[in-house]
Amino acid sequence: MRVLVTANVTPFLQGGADYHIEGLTAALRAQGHEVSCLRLPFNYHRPRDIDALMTFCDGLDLNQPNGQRVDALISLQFPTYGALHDNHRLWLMHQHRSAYELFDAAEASAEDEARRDRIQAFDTRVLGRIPKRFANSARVAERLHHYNGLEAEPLYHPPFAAEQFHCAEAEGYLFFPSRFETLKRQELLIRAARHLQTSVVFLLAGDGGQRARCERLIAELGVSQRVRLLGRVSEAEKRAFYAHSLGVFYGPRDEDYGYVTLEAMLSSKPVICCTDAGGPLELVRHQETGLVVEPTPEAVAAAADQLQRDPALARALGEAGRQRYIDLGIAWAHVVRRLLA
Amino acid sequence: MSQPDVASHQPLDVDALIARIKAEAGTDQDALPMPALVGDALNSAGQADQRPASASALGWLLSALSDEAFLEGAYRTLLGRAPDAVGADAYRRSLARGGSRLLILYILRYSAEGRAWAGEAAASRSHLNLLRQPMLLSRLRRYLKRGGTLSGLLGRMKAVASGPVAGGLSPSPSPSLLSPNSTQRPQLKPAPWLWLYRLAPVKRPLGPFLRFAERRYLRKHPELYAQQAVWQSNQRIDQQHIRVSQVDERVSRLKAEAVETQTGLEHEVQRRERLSKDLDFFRSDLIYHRQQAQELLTALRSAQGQRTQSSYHDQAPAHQGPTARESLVTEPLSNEAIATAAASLQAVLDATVDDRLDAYYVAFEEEFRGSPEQIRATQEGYVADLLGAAVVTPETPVLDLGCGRGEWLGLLAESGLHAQGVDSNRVMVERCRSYGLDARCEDALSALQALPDASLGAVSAFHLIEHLPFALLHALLEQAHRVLCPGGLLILETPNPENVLVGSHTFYHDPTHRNPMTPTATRFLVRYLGFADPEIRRLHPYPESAKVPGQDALTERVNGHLCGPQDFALIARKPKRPVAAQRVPSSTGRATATDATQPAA
Repeated sequence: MRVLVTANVTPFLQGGADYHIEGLTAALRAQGHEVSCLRLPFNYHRPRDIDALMTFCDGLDLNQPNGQRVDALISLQFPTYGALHDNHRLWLMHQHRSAYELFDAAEASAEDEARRDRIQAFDTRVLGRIPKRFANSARVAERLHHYNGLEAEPLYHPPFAAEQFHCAEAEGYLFFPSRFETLKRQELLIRAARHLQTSVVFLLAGDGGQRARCERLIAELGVSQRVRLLGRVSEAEKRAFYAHSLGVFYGPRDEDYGYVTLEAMLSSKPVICCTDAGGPLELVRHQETGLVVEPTPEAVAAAADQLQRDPALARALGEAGRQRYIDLGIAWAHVVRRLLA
Repeated sequence: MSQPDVASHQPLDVDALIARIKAEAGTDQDALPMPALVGDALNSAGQADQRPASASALGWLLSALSDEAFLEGAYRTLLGRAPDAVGADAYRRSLARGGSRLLILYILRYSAEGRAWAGEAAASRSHLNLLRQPMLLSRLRRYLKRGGTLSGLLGRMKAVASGPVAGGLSPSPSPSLLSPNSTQRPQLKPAPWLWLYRLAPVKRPLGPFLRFAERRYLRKHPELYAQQAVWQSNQRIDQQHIRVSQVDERVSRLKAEAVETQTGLEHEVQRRERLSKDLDFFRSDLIYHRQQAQELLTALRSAQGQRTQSSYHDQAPAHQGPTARESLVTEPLSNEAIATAAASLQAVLDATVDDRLDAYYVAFEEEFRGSPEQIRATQEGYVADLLGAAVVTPETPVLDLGCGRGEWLGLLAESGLHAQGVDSNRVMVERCRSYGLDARCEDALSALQALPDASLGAVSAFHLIEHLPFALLHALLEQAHRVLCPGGLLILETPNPENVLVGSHTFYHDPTHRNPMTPTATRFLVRYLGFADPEIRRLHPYPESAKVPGQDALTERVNGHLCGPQDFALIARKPKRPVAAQRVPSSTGRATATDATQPAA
C-alpha cells in the first residue's frame, strides 16, 4: 500500500514529534508499505502564517498528486489534516493548543480571539470529514470531544528504544527528565524539596528556557543538596538514571501523552504525577502504578517521602507499572494495524 | 527533618551517585539511530525475554505482585523460557497454599535444566548465581540481626508480594513444596530437616547435606519409603510431560518463525521488483545520455578535423587570409579546447559504459558472428598476407580495432606476430585478457591518435566500420594511414550489401550497426586517404545447397544477389613513398594534415 503521512516540520530541530513521525513511517515500511512523508513548515510565532497554511491545506487533494496514486493518507498534525483523500485517517498528535486549552484569554487581543475561532471552526469542519479518527492519547481524544464535539480512538505508541529500559537497584532519588519549560513545572519539584522529611534527593535532567530560573530558585531556597540539575544527558545515561531511581516525578500540567510516564513504567519505577497531569493519568493510577497528588510542593514532598520510607511499596508500584505497560499492548505493529484497518 | 529516615541511615553522596550512574551508562550500548519498531520486542512473541538485567533481578522477582508474574519471571530468568503448563500449574498450587517463592527459585535454579541454562553462558548470566546475590544476602543478614527468623522472613516477603497488606506471617510452608508437582506428593508430616531447605538458597553447599538428611529420615520411617518411590516415579512421568510440552512449544515457535520468514520473503520480493523497475528507468536514462554524448563527441571530432584542415590551409596557400579562415571556423575555440572537451566527453562515456549492454552484445556475437572456427578459417588468409608483407615486428605490431572476442589476436599470437587489440566493450576486453591477449578498453580513434607516426605494421578492423558515423570512419582511417609504417597493411572486413539479403535484412540484426559500406565506396575512401593497391575479397557466400539450381543468366543473377558473398574484406597498404597523385582533389581543394606532415622523401 502506498501511504502518505502528513505532518509539520521545524527544520534542524529534533523533538518528540519527529520521533513520533519517523517511528510511524519506519513501522509502516517495516510492514511492507511504501511511505512518503509530506511535512510543511509551521510558523508558530507568526500568526498570519498559520492562517496561510490553514488555507493552503484546506481541501488540498492528495488522492493523486501529479498522477501518483496514494492509497491512504495519515494526517498527524494541524493544519495538514485539512487535506483531502478518499481513504483518509487521522492520528491526532495534538491540535494547535494555543487555540484551545492554552489560549490565554486575559492576554488575548480581539484579533487573537478571531483567529482562535477560525482555527476551532477549521478543526471542527476538516476533522469532521475524516471518517477514521485516532488520537495520540485518551487526553487528546477527550479534548477533541470537548472542544470540537468529535470522537477519536486513543492509540498509544512506544517511546524510543523501549526495549532498552531496565530496572536496577533503587537509590534514594527521584528522577525527572524533561525540557525545562513552564508547562513541565520543574519548579514544583524544586519547591517541594523544602518540605522533605526524609533524605530523598531530586535529580532533574534536561535543558530549556526555564533552566536558569530553576537554578536561581534552587539557590534562593537553599536546597542545592537536595536538588541537582544534570543538564542534557545521553539516552544511555537517561536509562541508567531511570534504572537506579527510587521513583520518577512527572509534573506537567495537562500533558498530551508524555513519554516520561511510559519510560518510567518500562523501568519498573513508580510515577509521581499531579491530579491535573492530563495524559499521564491514563497510565498512572494512584497506589497502583504510582502516586497521584495535588500540584502543591507539600503534597509532592509527602509522596516522595512515602516512597523513600517504604521501598517495598515503591518496588511494587513500579512493577505494576511495567505490567500495565505490557498489558496495554503498546507496539508499533499494533499502531499500523489499527491505523490501516 | 523531624523524623528519622527509615530506609537509609547514611546521607546520600549525590555527586558520587551521579558519577557512578553516568559511568554505568557509559558501558551501556546507546540506542540504535533508527527508531524503527522500538518497543515491539516487549509486546511481541509472548512478551519474550524480560530477563531482568541487573544483579537484583531475583530480589525483584521475589517481590513480584502476583504469583503469575513471579512464575513467569522465575522461569524466564532461571530457565530462559516461558513456564510450561504442567510445571507452572504445580507451582501455582503450591504457592496458593502459602508455599515459598525462594524455595521455588532454588528448585528451578538447581534443576538439571536450570544448571544447564546457567552453565551455557555462565559469564553473561552471573546474576543467576544465587550465592552472589548481595541484595538477598544483605537483606537476610539485616533481618536476622534484628532477631527475625527465616520462616518469618519468607512470610514477610510473601506478604509484601501479595499486596498492600503489611506485615503478618504466612502459613508455614508445607513439605509438599519440595515437588514441582506437589499434589501427588504423599502427605508427610513435616520432616525435622525441612527447615534446612530454606537456608539452601543462600548456602548452596548445604545441598549434599540436605540430600543426606533426607535419606536418613526416610530410612528411619520405612513406611514412607514406598510412598516416596511412587512420588518419585510420578515426578519422572511429570518430567516427561514437561518435555513433551516443551517440544510442542518449540514446534509452534518454529511455525511462527516460518510464517514470519514467509512474510519477510514476500516483502523482499516486492522490494526487488521495485528496485528492478528503478534500475530499468536509470538504464534507459543512461542509454539516452550516452547517445547524446556520443553524438556530441562525433560533432566535436569533425569540428576538430575541420579546424586542423583549416589551419593547414592557413599555412599553405599564401592567398588565403584570416578572413577565409574565419569563414571556415565559426567556433572561436582553440584546438586544445576542443580536444579537452572531447577527452572529457569520452571520459564520461567510458565511465557510463553499461556493462549489461556489453554483456548483451557478447551474447549477440556468439549467436550471429559465426563460430570461432569459421572466423579463424577466413582470418588465416590475412595472416598469410601479413607474413608475405613482412611488416610486423615487435616495434611495429598489429593493432586490431574492435578486437571483440579476440579470435584474430589469438591467431596472430599463434603465428608469432605481435599484436594488440582495443575495444570499447569491457566484457569483450576482459574475455581477451582472460585468454592472455594484449587488449585494452579504449576508443579506437583515441588509441590511434595516441600513437606516433609510422609505428604499426598493420591496422585491422573486423566488422567495425559499419558501426561508425562517416566522420569518425574518415578520421579513423586517416589516423591509420598516419601511424602505419610505409608498406604497412590495412585490413578491413564488413558485411557485403551486394547481397540483397544482407543489405536489407541481416545487416539489421545488429542493433549497433549504422549503415552498410559498399565495396566500391570503401575502396574509394581508402584510396582517397592515400592507401595503395586496395584489394576487395568477397567472403562467405551462401552454401551451394541454398542457391537456386540452374546455370542461366537469370538464375546466376538471382543467386548472385540473394546467395552471394555475405561479407567482403578490403586489404590495402600504405605506399613505401608518399603518393600525392593518388589523392583525388576535392572541389574545395582540401587535403589532410596527415599528408602535409608526411616527410617528403
